[in-house]
Amino acid sequence: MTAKRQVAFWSPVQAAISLVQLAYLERSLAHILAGWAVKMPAFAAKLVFGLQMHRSMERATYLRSRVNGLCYATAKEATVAAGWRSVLSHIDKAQTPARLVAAIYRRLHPHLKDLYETHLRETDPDGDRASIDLIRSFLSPVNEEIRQGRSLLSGRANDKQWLCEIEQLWDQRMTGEPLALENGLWGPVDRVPAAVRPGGSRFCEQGSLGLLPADPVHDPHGVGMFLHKELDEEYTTLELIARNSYEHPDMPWAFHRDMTRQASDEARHAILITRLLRARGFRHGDFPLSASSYDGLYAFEPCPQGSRQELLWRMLIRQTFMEGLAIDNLAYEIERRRSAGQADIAAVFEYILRDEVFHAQSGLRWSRELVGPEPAALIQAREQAMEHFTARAEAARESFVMDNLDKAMSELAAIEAGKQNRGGKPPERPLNRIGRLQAGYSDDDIRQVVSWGFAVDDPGAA
Amino acid sequence: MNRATGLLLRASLFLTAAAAALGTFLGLPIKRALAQDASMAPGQVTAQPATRMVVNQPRFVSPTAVALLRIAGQAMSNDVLAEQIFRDPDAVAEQHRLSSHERLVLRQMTREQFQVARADAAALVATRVANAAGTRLPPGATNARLIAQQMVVGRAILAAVGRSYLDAADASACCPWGKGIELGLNSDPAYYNPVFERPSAAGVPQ
Repeated sequence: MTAKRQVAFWSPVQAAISLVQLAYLERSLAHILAGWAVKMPAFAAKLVFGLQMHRSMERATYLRSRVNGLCYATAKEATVAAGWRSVLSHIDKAQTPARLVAAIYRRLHPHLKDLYETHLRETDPDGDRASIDLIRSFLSPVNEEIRQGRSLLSGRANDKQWLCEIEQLWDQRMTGEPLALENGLWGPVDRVPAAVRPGGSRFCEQGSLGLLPADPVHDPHGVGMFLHKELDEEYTTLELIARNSYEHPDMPWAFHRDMTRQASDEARHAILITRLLRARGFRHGDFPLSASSYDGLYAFEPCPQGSRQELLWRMLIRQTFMEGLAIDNLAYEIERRRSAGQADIAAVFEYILRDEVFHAQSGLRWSRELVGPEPAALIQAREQAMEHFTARAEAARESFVMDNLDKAMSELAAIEAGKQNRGGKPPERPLNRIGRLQAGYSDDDIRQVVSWGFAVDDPGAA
Repeated sequence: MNRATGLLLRASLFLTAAAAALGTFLGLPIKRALAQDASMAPGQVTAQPATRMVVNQPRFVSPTAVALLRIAGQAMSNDVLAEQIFRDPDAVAEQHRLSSHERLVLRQMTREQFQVARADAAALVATRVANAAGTRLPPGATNARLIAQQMVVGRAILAAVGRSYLDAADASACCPWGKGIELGLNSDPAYYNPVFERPSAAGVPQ
């Protein structure tokens, strides 16, 4: 029996319809993962989601570009039916993390793979060659994502009804009014003011100074604490940045590419730091956890919930203030760790520093986009956001000390031990001018952080 | 074993015992106190152990605020002691055998602080009594003197550590970004449980 020769392949219009559906599916997947990273209790799931949301966003971007290529000549726009949004937004409303994982990796991802394979089979192998090359490059990562995602599955209990609901909606995906790819997503289904952590975790207390290693460079225990703090920063930033994307689907496409890339970077950083911790005999959770950089930056009383002002303040504080300090401090740490013979830490920080420059750059870009072109407006907005943020932190601090005199005395002892270890000197905070300029900080931005005392600008030092 | 080696060995044993004794006196576990001379030296930790380390906690002596509360309490009703604290805190610290950390805090206590604390405590008690509307308050909740002495000590600790976000960032020699003051909500389910309590099958076609 001979193989049946296919006589009619898809037309460019049909190919564009298939591609726009794939692009919508990938974009929606990135959206769901961005919303859920913070709600997953397991750190392993946060890492998988962080890495995969970026890949999905990038695949959606390539597919969108290919759709535009196929539609440009006829000035037509390829759309998807609203049924697609119904099924995907329903998955986003999963009631538990386990259901969400089951929906994505038992249903959505296999459907995605089938659709890619259908496109390869049905499209014109010569006319639509560019799409075929693109999809072939996607299939291996998609298979790997299914494998990684299924490792997060916790069993099939209570999944049946839920998965049936999804299948019902999937079958009706081609129904409903047409949606444009650019604005076809749904708004956030929830607000998540506290990052979810595994049950039984211990935490640094609100208002405390957290972990205070006396000697974070030479004492193995202090190095462990230092890395542990750093690891929590990576997770909380991943979660906050992902929510920035999820809670503002109407921001430009390029914004979501930046946010998902950063979330993915933070996931890679967490993997790198975990490696350093393990090499020293520590595990995440050996010390109390901190979710401060998510919980403390999620909402601000003066900003309406879910508003652009709230997004702006998150970006100004986390991406342009704190990430700026990271650019300064990492450059200093790289030298310090190298001098201490900790080449592995120095090498990891070299990679992280390169990413931080991009993160600050993205924070500056999108903050400017939100406040407008006037440079003084950004400085003023940052001043205002920081004034509120530091006042709130200082109030929490005062409250903690008043309620915990003994613990506050222990902190004082730890601080004094640290000072003694540094020969009585305050911690060094040299400004990394080159790194900051590469990130796009203006002279006024730099003057502002120096005037606050968080960095010391010594032009002679460079 | 020759005489010189024996002397060296004895000296080494003496130094080790002295280090352990000093560490124990300071509140460090013996294991840590002994570890200091070998592992704390700069540049000695390039080869990190691959096995899991024992995390010895507490890491520091746990200095309580009891002695400071006692002194502040006495100074509330003893003007001579109060004046001594304001004028020569180190002498008071010496007299009461305070630690160096307690001494740092004592140095921050001022006449104004006592006055403000007394006024704040009185106002707080008045508010609590008014809000209680006849219901019984827990013991200590209306003890203005106790509240004032806690305020004096708490504010003096804050002054010793530094009250600002920048001070807090400087408190730690690492990770200044985002780690000044903890603002975490401890993964409190109250903040995210509603997220997982949505009605089932919403929007599913029947």
